[in-house]
Amino acid sequence: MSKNLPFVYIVDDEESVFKAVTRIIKSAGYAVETFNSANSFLSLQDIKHPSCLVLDIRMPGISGLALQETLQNKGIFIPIIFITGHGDIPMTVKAMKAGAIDFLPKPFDQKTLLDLIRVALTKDKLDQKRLNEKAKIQELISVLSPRELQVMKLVIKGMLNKQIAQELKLSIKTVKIHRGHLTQKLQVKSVAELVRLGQLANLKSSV
Amino acid sequence: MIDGWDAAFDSIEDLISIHDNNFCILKVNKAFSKSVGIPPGKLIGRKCYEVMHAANGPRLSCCHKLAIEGKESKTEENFEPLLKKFFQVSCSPIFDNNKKIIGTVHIARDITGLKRAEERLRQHSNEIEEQLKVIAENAPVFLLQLNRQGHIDYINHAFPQFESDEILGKPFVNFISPEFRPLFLNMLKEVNGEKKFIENELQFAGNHNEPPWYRIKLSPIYRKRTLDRFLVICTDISEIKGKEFEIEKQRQEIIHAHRVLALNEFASSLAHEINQPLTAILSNAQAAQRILSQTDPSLMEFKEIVADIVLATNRAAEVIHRLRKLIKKGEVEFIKLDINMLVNDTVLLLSSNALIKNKFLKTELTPGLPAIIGDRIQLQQVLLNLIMNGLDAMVDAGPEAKDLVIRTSLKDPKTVVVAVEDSGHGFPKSSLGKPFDHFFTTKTQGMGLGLPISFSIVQAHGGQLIVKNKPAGGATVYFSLPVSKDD
Ligand SMILES: Nc1ncnc2c1ncn2[C@@H]1O[C@H](COP(=O)(O)OP(=O)(O)O)[C@@H](O)[C@H]1O
Ligand SMILES: [Mg+2]
Repeated sequence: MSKNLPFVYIVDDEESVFKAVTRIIKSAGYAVETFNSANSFLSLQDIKHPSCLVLDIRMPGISGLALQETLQNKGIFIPIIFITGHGDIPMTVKAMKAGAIDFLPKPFDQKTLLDLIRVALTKDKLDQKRLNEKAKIQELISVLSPRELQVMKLVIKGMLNKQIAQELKLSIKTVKIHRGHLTQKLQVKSVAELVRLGQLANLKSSV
Repeated sequence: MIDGWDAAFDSIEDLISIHDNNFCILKVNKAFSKSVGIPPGKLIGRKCYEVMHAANGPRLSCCHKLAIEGKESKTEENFEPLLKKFFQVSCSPIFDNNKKIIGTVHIARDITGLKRAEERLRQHSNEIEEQLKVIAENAPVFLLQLNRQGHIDYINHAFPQFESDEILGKPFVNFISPEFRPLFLNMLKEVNGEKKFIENELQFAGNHNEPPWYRIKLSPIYRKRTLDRFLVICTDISEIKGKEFEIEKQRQEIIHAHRVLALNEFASSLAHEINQPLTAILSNAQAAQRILSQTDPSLMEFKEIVADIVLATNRAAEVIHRLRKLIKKGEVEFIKLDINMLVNDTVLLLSSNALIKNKFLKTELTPGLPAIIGDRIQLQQVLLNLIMNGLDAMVDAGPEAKDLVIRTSLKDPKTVVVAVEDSGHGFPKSSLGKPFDHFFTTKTQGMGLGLPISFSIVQAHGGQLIVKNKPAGGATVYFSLPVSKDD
């Protein structure tokens, strides 16, 4: 199997179900890895991307819902499609609120499953791209001096050079020099670009 | 003879006389002459039978005659009409120097008082016997005496089904319905030991469609410490039995109704249970369609898929089969059962239900337990009730209460015990005395029939059901079942 195939992880305690689902997904040209419990998935070292997780909402031990929460707490991003059964409505609502792609009530049609996987993989690609960007920006920001970072946060807040100088008790000239350095380091050409960068990096605008 | 001897003879109360071998009186003591009212002088030389019996010759049983003929001492008891008295008489022969018999010493002891007492006793016991006979003949039960072989020697009155003379001398077992004959033969065997009596309920033979029921009490009668006869007391219990059957039928109806209602309760978990294989079937079938539409479909994989579809279909069918068996309203059927298998079947039926409630069913089964005798469906119903109760209690207790454990073990070589242990809130203190009361419930949706029905099922199986709260919280319900005899 080629390394670049999108990956679908399946976590389901029911062998007969995950075997059948695996067949469908494989026939659609994805790489598949199956786990029969939440714990065995959690012990997976490295999640490949783009990928998504097809997850049984109800399992003995750690439930699908609990696995979703654990992944979020660990800062692991992977789009989740839940497989749900009869009488799982309250759990499904929770899962959706926590950001699941969608849910598939059993028994489900292969087309619905594959459509959802496609949606999930697209989302994962975007997520990964955003995450990569964020990582890159954070790397750029990390080379700024503390003063430059202070100046940047105030620029994003919408302050003029004069106001910034006042706020930081610096001369306007010094502020201008810091601005020059930081725009050079961050390779931005406009204030608008700087603001977008700040948002992507989740920069708090407080000093 | 020495004179002192005469005085001695005269002082004895017994009648003493000496006769020659021709029945002539040679000598008498005082008591003798006083009794017959003739002075000794007038007695000497007279024939004894004249004096004593006013007869012309000796009686056949005269012991004087017998003593002379037999040359040895003889005794007899007789009544003397002349004297109106009973005597115990003994005669001892007297020999001369040539060992020739020359007469006898005749001693007669008055035993009239003794005889009278004896007679009174005899009369009394005859009266008692007579009374007993009247009682027996009018008793509302049938009394029979059987000889050691079990043949009928006596019956107090005729059975409605059989004439007395049709019965006497025949083996009693012939009149018992064939299916109960082994039981009765076993009673005969067993009562012939330590046992004072054995009681059983059985049906008599007959061509009615519902032959009469009798309670039979069999007691051994001993003579000189060995078994001599049997006493059989038979009470007609057909009417009671009829009522019992009616009550039993009603009980079974309630048990069945409750079972169906209980099934209702976990219908949703059954939907889940069926959904699993259905999902596998649909997904597999669709996977097969996809594979077939590929340019180079793998026949191998196709085969595997079809095999999995068959497996999943069987599994769905199994769920439905299990369910059907439980809903079924068949005859109660007592057969040999493996208790562990029964627990596993029930746990399978309920595991989805537990999962939906976020609880866990665990089993700790002792392997190799002896078989028990019981009705599969009803025992499963007991397990079902107890597990559902445990799950209910654990749902109430919150998400911390997770595990419900079902254990099986051997209490003693004749008893298997099943324990259903939950981690719920335990029985409310106020209810510990009455969980078996019908309609006692603390649940809004409860009916309060689960425990009383389980109790009655276990009881009908010869077992016991008890509930206990654990010190650390939660409840354990135990029930015991006797093991199969030939296991
Ligand atoms: N495992 C248990 N733990 C605590 N309480 C129980 C348990 N089982 C039964 N009970 C109590 O006994 C009552 C009677 O039970 P049951 O006869 O099965 O009727 P129901 O379940 O319909 O209430 C219950 O309502 C509950 O109060
Ligand atoms: Mg109950």
